[in-house]
Amino acid sequence: MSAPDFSTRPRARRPPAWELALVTGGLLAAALGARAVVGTRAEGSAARARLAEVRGEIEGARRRVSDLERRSGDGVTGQVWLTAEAPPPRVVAQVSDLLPPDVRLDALSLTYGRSLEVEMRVVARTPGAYDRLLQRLEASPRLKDLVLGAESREGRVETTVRATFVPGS
Amino acid sequence: MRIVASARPRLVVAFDASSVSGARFARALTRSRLSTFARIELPPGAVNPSALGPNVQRPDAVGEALAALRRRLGSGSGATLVLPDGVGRVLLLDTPQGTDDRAYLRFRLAASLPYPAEEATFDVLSLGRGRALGAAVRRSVVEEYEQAAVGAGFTQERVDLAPLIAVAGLLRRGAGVHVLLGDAALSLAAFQDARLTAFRTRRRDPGPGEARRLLEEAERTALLGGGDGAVTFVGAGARGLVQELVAWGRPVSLGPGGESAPDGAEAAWLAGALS
Repeated sequence: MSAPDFSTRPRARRPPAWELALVTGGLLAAALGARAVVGTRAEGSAARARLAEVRGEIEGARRRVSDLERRSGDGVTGQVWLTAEAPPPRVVAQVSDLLPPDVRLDALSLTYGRSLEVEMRVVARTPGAYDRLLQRLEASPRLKDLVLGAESREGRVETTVRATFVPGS
Repeated sequence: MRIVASARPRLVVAFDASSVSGARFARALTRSRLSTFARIELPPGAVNPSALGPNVQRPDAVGEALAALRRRLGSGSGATLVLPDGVGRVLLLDTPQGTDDRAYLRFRLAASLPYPAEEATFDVLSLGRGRALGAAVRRSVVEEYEQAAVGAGFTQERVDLAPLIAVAGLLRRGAGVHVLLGDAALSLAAFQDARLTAFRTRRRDPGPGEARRLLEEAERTALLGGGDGAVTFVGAGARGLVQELVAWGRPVSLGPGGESAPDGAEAAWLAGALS
């Protein structure tokens, strides 16, 4: 249904309100869509940059871990750790606590490497005192891999005991 | 009642022999509301409505009047140009099903036009239930009015004819015979309920006895169309004619438009534009 029109020239058609509203809505949706696309692209770029950064961090961490593992294999890392966990005064004190009253420690040598090797020069007043020392050394959680040296049992016992020191409180 | 007309312009510029008039409308939900109505007098002979033309005899005077009208109405919207009664050949027709109304109108009117059909522009006002009011206007005549309006700064939206736009407004009112008066010609439309049953056009013959002659024409139209005989007048000079006939005791009344604007009853197209 339409009103008559006897025009002889092209009609300057005024679009109805619903058409204008439709076009306006379309333009608005397009603008919002474009904005969302731009925003998404920016977020995507930021996410990619962050991913690359994280990957770099992971790669760096891997390199550091490899380096540490390599250095650990060289004993350097273990030595550093042992130095911190079992400094000489603490080792001396803990070893001294293991000695029975009639055993004295003449010398103590510490070798820091992948493990802490302890070499003790001990003098026991009697063989019985030496046996008690060995019992204590064997029972101690601070020492393992005990290697006993040659004994001289002429009244008193003098010997060298080697062990691996296990750090701990 | 089924309303089939959809002429709801925002700005109307109407031509006639004695004046140019116009109205600006505000959109309401169901129908238009009149915002401004203006009428600018033309000097005698400036416009001569006829089917053959030329119609705009004094373009300068018409241009000045249109410019004044534009100042009163503004020109922010596309304007519907309303050509006066007398410029077109109008025909009430029953359109066969399945045919194009305009093509059928052209077939029916072509032989009776006083110029080759190729020179005419045709269109119809659909009335529903297979009936339409169609008209043919010579293109050169339409162009005269279009040039005048565009020259005055109006943006043309469409072109309608005063009797067609008036009938569109009467579809709501229905019954009776309506005398639609232009300065140079008039139309008579008879309704049975809301159905247009007869439509006739006549040249105006102003002067002594016009009121009585017009009433006789209206009564003949009522007989032709089977209406109930109630007669209303609207358009140029309607108020004076009604007063004269009422003074003689004839039961006639002023048609729609007068309630919308002081001069509204003088513009037959106004009620149609408001419908």
